[in-house]
Amino acid sequence: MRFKNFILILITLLLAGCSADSLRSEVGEGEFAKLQQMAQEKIGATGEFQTDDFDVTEFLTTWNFNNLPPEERAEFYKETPLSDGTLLREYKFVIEEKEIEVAPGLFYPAWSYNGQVPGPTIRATEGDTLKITFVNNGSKPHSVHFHGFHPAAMDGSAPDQMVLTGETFVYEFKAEPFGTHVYHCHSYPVSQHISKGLYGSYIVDPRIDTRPVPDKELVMVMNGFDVNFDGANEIYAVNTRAFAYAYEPIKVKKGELVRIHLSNMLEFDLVNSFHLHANFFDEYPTGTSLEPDNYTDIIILGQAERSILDMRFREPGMYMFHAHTTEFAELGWMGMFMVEDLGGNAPVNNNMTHGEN
Amino acid sequence: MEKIKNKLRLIAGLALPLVLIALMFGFFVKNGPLGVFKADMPPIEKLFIERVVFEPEQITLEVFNDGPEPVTVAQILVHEIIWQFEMTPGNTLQPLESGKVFLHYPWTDGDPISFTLIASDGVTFGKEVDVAFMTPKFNMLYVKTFVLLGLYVGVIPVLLGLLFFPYLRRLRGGAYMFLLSLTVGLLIFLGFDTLGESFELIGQLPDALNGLGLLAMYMTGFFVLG
Repeated sequence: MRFKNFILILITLLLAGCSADSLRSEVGEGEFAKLQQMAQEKIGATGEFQTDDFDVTEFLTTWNFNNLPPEERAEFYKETPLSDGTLLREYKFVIEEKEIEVAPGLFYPAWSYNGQVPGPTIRATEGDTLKITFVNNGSKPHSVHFHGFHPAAMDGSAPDQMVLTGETFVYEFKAEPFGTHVYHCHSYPVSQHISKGLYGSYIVDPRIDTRPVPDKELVMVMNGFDVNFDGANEIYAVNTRAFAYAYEPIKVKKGELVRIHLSNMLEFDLVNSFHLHANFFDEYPTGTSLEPDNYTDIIILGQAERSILDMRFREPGMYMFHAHTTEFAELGWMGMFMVEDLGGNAPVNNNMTHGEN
Repeated sequence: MEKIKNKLRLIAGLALPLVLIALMFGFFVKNGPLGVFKADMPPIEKLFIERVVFEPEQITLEVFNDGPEPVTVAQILVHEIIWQFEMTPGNTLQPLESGKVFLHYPWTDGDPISFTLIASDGVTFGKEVDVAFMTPKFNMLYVKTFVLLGLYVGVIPVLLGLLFFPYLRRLRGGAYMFLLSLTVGLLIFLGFDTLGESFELIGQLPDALNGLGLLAMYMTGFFVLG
């Protein structure tokens, strides 16, 4: 064509050749550092728990319904001394289908013993007689299966031992061996009945206890919830509520002997673990020995395994405890100990922040 | 007289079936098996994550409520980790409402990343991003690049094509027909290709916007009006 147009084309081609370098948006150094810091603080759940029907701090030190006022407590727990020096302890367990809050704003349709997950903690002395009246007010057959010595008829595991809807059954057996045990529903499919929340702790104290006397005893049940029913847990926790003890740190005093009755009732995952920051603890596996077996800062527990952990905190401050299966920790199984000095003060600078909704 | 009779017959012919249909419908609603549809079925919740915008240490998710029920986002997982978020206009989205979710998350350039939104009743909605990279911002560099792109893809080929014009002018008969049919074929192919891409895009739209219906409507409109 014309020479002029040819030159035009050539120039366009040359311009196109020097294309733009990069499209990355520039952010200043200081600004970037601030953004990195902010991102570090955003681990954890958003918002606050909306329901207060379950008190995570109260659960730690509740057994034999000792959190209830006497008249209400009498309905669920009764102690009667027997002629041989032991006690007859009578309990009432009722199945309640209930929606529980497992993370702020996140609700799970659970099956529970007495309206709480984990179920009420039973505590007896070795040799006591236990009598549990079990009422099934649920919509499916349920049972209570104890880990501990008991006759086969009290096992609660055979299909003909299931307590049908509306029925009642009385479990009776002697509390032994001493240790920290668990109970759970054994109706089929067991994995569903456990993951729906039917489990709890069952502690038996030795007749003659040569262990050091604890200043504080805490009951912890590690658990998790499959909120979308896909066969894997989305929320992990200790005592049901994700990040519960990050929101409400556990207050202990420097130097006191803290004894944790720890059990693992996590379904779908092979193992769970417990790790304590900046500190070591004595472990009594299953609590069945008067001597500790292990001195460590991390233990692994399979489902229904349990241990007693004895620890003393040397310095005041905030100390994290969590599963060292880190993915569980970051999905809710993590909490804090707030160790106060003898004057009742504790440094609060490491408190975990949580976002507003 | 005949005329009026005919008119009446016409009206009757239309009114009678209509009245019968109305009666049948009324009866069905009152006594029919509609109870089955009113059964206690769990609400259908659907949340659609339309777009993920990456900025330094920040991520924005543009979400859209695709279903017939309001959805409340309770928690968010990034890579199976619970992460704090802020949401506008609020945590609850009404049907067909859009929202934005802001996360301060230290994402890694070039790595895949996944998001799970957990509604208050446990239903989860996921989104996988194959490669995380900074979302390009609209600035002069962006405009310049696209101008150059337009030159590469639009202006230069057309100019080059125009250079052939003097030669084409002198073509006659078979050669000319060949080139013409080649061009027509190319255009038809492009048409089908575009149609294929439209179907792909429909798959990426939220269901509530009825992508197929939109495509049908616009195509028909184009051919009728254009």
